[in-house]
Amino acid sequence: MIRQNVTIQNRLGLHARAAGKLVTEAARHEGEIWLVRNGRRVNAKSIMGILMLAAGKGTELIIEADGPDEQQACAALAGLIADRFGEDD
Amino acid sequence: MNAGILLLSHGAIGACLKKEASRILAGGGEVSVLGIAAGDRCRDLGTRLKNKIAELERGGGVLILADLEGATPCNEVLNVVHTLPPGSRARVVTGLNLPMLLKVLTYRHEPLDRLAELAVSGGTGGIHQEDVAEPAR
Repeated sequence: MIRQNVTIQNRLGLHARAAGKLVTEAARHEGEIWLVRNGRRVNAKSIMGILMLAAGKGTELIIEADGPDEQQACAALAGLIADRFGEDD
Repeated sequence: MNAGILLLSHGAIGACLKKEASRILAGGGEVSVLGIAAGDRCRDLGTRLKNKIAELERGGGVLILADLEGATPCNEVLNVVHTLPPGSRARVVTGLNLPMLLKVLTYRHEPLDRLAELAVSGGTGGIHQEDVAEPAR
């Protein structure tokens, strides 16, 4: 299992479409992936779980991944967040 | 084989939910919609439902998400699913909402019975009363 700290960068935070992109990316990976905010841990392959984190801009999250492709999964999700989900601001 | 998914609603509710779910998550294109408009003749509804279920049955069964329990579309589909031909299976879940649809799309590769359970948990799990601070007096 690996962990990586990330900070939500985009202005709208982890809104529905951003969460959709995150889930779609997470689903491409074999292992289990979670997002953690203040001790609340949700399945990164479940959009409702992600939305319930209510993570606005500046929120600090931990990505946890466990499985054969945990490195790639973690890097892919962290990359999506760092890239502001492809949004302009 | 994935289960077929049918949204059964009053008016454009199902079509709107499909459109918005597709904006959020990929895969909305796999969902079929049947919206019953006010004033629609319901006499042939059973036949339309039967045909639609047959069209969506590709070996994995059909999950029908209906918007309102006890209303005509839901009542009709319950009649129809009790008389499906051998080899055809369907599950009906009521209370269609956006969280339910997003959950189903997320887990659309799951077998029919599991998908129906997930639809129920997704639909009910999206309903909360949020904490709202009272304004200062």
